[in-house]
Amino acid sequence: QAQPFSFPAIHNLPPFFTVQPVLNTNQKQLQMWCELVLDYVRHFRLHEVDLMEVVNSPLFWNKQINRRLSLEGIKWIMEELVRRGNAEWAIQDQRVIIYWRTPAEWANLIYTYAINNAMEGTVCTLYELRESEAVEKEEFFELDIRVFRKALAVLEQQQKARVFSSNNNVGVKFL
Amino acid sequence: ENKKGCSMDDLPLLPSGRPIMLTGEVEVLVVQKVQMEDLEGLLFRLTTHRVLLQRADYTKQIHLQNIDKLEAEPHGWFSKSNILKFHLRNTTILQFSFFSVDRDLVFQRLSKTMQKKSWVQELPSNVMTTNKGANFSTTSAGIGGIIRRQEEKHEKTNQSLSQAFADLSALMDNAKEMVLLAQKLKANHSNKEEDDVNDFMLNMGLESPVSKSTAGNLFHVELSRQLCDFLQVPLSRNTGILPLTEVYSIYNRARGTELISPEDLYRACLLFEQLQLPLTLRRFDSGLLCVQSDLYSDQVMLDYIDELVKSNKFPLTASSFASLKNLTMSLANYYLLKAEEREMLCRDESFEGLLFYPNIFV
Repeated sequence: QAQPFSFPAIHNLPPFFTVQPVLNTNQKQLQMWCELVLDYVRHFRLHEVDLMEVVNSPLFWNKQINRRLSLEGIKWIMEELVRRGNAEWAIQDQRVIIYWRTPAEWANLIYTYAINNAMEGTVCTLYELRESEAVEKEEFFELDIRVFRKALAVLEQQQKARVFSSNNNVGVKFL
Repeated sequence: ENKKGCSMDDLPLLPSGRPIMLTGEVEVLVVQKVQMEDLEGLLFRLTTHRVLLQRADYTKQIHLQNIDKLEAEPHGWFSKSNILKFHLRNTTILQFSFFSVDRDLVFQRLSKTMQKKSWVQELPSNVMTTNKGANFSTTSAGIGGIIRRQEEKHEKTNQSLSQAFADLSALMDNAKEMVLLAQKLKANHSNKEEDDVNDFMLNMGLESPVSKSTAGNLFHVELSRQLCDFLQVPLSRNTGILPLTEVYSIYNRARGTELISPEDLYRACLLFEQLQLPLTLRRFDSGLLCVQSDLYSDQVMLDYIDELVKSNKFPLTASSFASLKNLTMSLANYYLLKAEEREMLCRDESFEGLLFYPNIFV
């Protein structure tokens, strides 16, 4: 996405960058940050976020108003996303995978593609499904491998596909 | 209403329950548990001008000039009498019994006070008279003459003041004169700004300070009531709340002599609720003690903050808010945090300090 990300108005207000002490206010602020973070990573198609890096990004550091959200604040948001099922710690408190689309949602997209291309009963490699020219236009094209694997796991659970590996190759059979 | 009751007038009171004093009237003695005829539990207040009787349902005054003579019942062989009779000019006789204090002490003070006849209107003695009918000479004419006369007046005033202050008991004797002087000076300054008048009044002192010698063990009760009256003006200038330290200094400054101790002040403040006065002694979490007028609850201050929010005069710091509303820093902080708690405000913490904004999250 070459389009620049447009921040909501609240991102330009200093109090947004101070974690509020009063409970109700705090919860509303958290809600706003979660939405913003998801929009941001969705826009830039980010799947993994390193906290030490992102603390300097325009998302958490508004240079115009000279305010930044502390590392503690960022952890506060990520913990909430994890709690909601929108994220998972890759390394606790350091790296987090954000599912701006849940594995189940990805699973749906992948399965829909399979149906639309009459792939039931056939087998394809992970590579073909994820990185080949055939899927260039798909949303899940070059999706973060860990997220992709999770999506496949969901399909397995839903008994819509089976994943197996042989000789370092991973294959997927749609059922 | 008994017949003897009809020989006395009703006594007008201030909102705190203290009686309204006459011009130049000063308290001399306050005694509780006094019985008059068949009325028990009266508060008996002797002033330079009157005897004031108070109880929850009863307030009367007897002007000293209406007392023809006093009769102290003689002591018996085995017991002292506590009875004193007033023979009034209208031939009524009122019998008083004193249960909490020596009857003879009351008799003594009463006699002395009646002798002085403080209520007799004299010309304000040698302080303010101009010399009428003096031989005219050019030295008293023109601007120079006016200045000279002013200087003479000031000389006399100074003399009067230093003589009075030389001896405190003499001061009490001169009390009436002092009070008149204070009032005259106040009247002369009535054209200046209100602030000056108030300051001047404070400087000249209260007219009839409650003291341990006049009120005895009622001291804290009386002090509590007087504080209530005294603090009306200062409180109204500070959105109804003052730190106790502030109350201590302005009140003592106004008293001038016979200063009260912090302990006395504290004890008096503890009585507000019991005496049903419209003041409250508040202790904040920080340990700060304040006197707050019941007319100005926290809500008033919070409403003010609400107004500020709506007219967008933000962001606020504790110090800017303190100067806006004439509060101490700890009070200003308290109110801002309270408003934050009520979700009216949110905070911005940075190297610039702690600032408060209207709550952008709701």
